[in-house]
Amino acid sequence: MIVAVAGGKGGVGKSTLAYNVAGALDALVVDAYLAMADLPGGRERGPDLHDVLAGRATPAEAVRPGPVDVLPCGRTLAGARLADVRRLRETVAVDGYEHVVVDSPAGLRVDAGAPLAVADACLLVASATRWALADALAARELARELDCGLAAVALNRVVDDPPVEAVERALGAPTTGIPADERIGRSIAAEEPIGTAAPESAAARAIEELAAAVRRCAVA
Amino acid sequence: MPISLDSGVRTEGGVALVSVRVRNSEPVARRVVVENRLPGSVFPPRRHGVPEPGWSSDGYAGVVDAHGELVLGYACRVDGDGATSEDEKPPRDAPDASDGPNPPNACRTEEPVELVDVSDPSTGEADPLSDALAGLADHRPPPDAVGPAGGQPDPGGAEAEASTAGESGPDGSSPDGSTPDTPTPRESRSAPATPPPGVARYLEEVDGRISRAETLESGSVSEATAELKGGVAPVGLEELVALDARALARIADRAESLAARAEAVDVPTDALERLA
Repeated sequence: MIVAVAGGKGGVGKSTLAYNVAGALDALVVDAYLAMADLPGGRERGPDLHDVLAGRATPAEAVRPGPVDVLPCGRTLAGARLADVRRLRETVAVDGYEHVVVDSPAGLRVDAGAPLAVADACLLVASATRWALADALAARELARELDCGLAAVALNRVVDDPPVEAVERALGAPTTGIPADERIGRSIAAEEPIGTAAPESAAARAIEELAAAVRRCAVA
Repeated sequence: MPISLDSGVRTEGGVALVSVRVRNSEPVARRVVVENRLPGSVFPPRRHGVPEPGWSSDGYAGVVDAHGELVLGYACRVDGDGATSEDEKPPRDAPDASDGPNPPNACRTEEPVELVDVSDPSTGEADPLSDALAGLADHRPPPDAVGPAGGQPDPGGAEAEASTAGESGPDGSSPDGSTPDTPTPRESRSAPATPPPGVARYLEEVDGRISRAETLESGSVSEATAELKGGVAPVGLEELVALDARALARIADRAESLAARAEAVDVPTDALERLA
């Protein structure tokens, strides 16, 4: 199943969640931030998402195996300009993975819409503030417009009791509060998802809850 | 016929304004594809400059609810000198005047639009990725940011970081056995063949000026008055359009010669790779 991790706004922790949820699902995570790569790997040798979208490499060639397998994005503006988003559907259907998590950029442009368009479902990420809900609603509208179901909502980096029920009512999907935990924040740089770093932590349980919501969608 | 189509056209200032009504008398929703038959491409309705979902340069594809109707409207530039638009006038007046009871299938080929496909919406050709591409704004960085080489970011300035990444990214990929990437020549082959945003913007601007001039020349008195009230100075506009004409002619020459050179050039990639 292809899952897009989306959210109307930048800086809410989409990439970190995408990486950790992919860890929990034993999935591949694709960095679809075409103009501003967010996951590591794009500076290393070898082809990346830009090359795949430009038809110069196969998706499997671009995958960097690791604790969580990553298909990184290139970091050049030239690569971003030449990437043909129409190839995204074939690109994310990488053989050998039951689930692929596509980390989508913020905003309402093609690079934000295309992952939603090719995904079977999406996870919306929002920070647990009242005003962030409006961004999440905008992202849900975009997902709905592009026929992408909403698997779950993550209220990220919560400290106090998050307004889970209110968000569930507003967005119409199971909602999970992800506790603020610096091990999640470090997970990408350390290449260690929270499920490995602290499997008993509340944050790891919350990530597992999101992964379970994705699995339920896949069964449905 | 469970799906019926009514259409009407009004031509103003060389632009046909087409109204379409698709009715579904079936108890299930149907996906319909409606194509423009006027000579000229479709100018779909836009919101904040972005075409509404479902529209393409040929027409519209969308779903009509069970026992429902779909009301659409678009513009289409038909050349002002009238040869083609005259042909369209007779069928156009009838539906316009009689608001409904005209036979939908009687003279379909003469209608401004044609219903080309009716299908089940669940199995239809709905493609969200095409919808995203058609409906959302372009995400690509402007060509100026990429540098004159086309695939090679300009080293220095804001591009310094990207350029160092470029060295280890695409350039370094040959040793591991995958497709070697020399960015400049190969990338241009797979570049989407749409005009760069800067060029498209310029053409849109010029289009707007010429349209205003055409309205002043051949539009109705009320349209011309509206343009004048909108602050369009006829003399200034005439000069600007004359400049546009000269600039466009120069651009056309240059584009043609560049296209010819681009077609003719053949980079000896194999030889260069052996040399490297």
